[in-house]
Amino acid sequence: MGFLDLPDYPDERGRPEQGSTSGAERPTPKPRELPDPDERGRAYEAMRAYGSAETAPDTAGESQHGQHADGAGQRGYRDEVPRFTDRWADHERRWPETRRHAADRPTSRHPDDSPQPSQERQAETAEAIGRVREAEPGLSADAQAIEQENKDTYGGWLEGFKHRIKGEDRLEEKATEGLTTSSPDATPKQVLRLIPDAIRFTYCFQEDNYTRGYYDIRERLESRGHEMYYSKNYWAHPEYKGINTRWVTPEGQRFEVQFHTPDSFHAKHHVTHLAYERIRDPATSRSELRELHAFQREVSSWIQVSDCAEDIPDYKKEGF
Amino acid sequence: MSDSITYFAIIGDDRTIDNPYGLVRRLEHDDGPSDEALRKDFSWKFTPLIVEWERGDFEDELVEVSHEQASKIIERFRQKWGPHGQPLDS
Repeated sequence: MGFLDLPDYPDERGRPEQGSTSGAERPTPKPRELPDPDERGRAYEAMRAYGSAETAPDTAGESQHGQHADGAGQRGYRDEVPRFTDRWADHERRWPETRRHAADRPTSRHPDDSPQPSQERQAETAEAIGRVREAEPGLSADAQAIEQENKDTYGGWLEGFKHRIKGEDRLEEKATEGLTTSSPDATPKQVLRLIPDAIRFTYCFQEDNYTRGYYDIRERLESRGHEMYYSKNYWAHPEYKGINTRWVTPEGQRFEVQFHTPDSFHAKHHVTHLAYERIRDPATSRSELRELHAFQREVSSWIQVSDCAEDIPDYKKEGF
Repeated sequence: MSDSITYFAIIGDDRTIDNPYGLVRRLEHDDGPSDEALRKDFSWKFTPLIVEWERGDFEDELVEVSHEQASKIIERFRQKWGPHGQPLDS
């Protein structure tokens, strides 16, 4: 066994094998990683509502959704939403949350062996969170003004605006997780910077305006002094569709802007969100993981790729 | 025991694979992969970071490194954190 296998370390764990439901030895998921019943209910309602709206005229200009053809003609993403709902319900029946977490549901803010952060670290974290809070109002004002400017030409709109900033608890949790697990050689300030969606805006466009809308929003953000340092195009990704970009204000605050179509946003926010949360959950077995990835691939395969969206190049500025 | 292990250094800003923020790895098993991160006490623990990075939910970059490079990174952390690492709240 090589050095990197580190056999003498006591905490070496992978995902549980199929059928392993013993919670005692599993790392305990963070509270926010456990989808609550209300969240599941809202997701189902949103899924159903979207699917049942398939025959209603779309005021924003419904275009050709989906990519699949059958003998009866084109079927689109919206047509498939009820089937996604049923499939997810079936998944939850076969992999119930209670069985997954009953034994190890956390009882405190720091449920696993992640320690309570030191006072010094807490102070640093609080300071970093304070900077995020200070920057948010100005950024939000810019995002809303840009939405208005874009609306007349490309019809873009902000989705999920009320969730644009992560809660303080979630940021503290992220900082603790980052410092102990993901980025142990970083400071709290650096770790909080590593959370790209501490502040996030999501713009949506109908398919036929998506590419032009992307460039318009980008130009308008740049004209306000913000700099894009990263753009990643996921339209060719098998499990997730959209473009995620990262920006920095003139004062140095980073934030994220995502670009979606109604279908890609719906898929991400209402259909695959809980699957993604389970994929990120240490209690998920590898057998279930395979099914979750297959589910995400199936949903994504029905999302119509926007006009030339796949041609929007990735970008990464050196030094960021 | 996994069939293969792929290591990734966490880099960004002025951090490089010689000076990364951290180290994560993906272990391939017959029934699928599992992901782990190296912690400050030198234990490996589950991490969602690789999945998040694949979906654009992680700010910095993961760069695949060889097993030899991963050994060097761990050695560097040993020099920095001490041979047995540090408490997780340090």
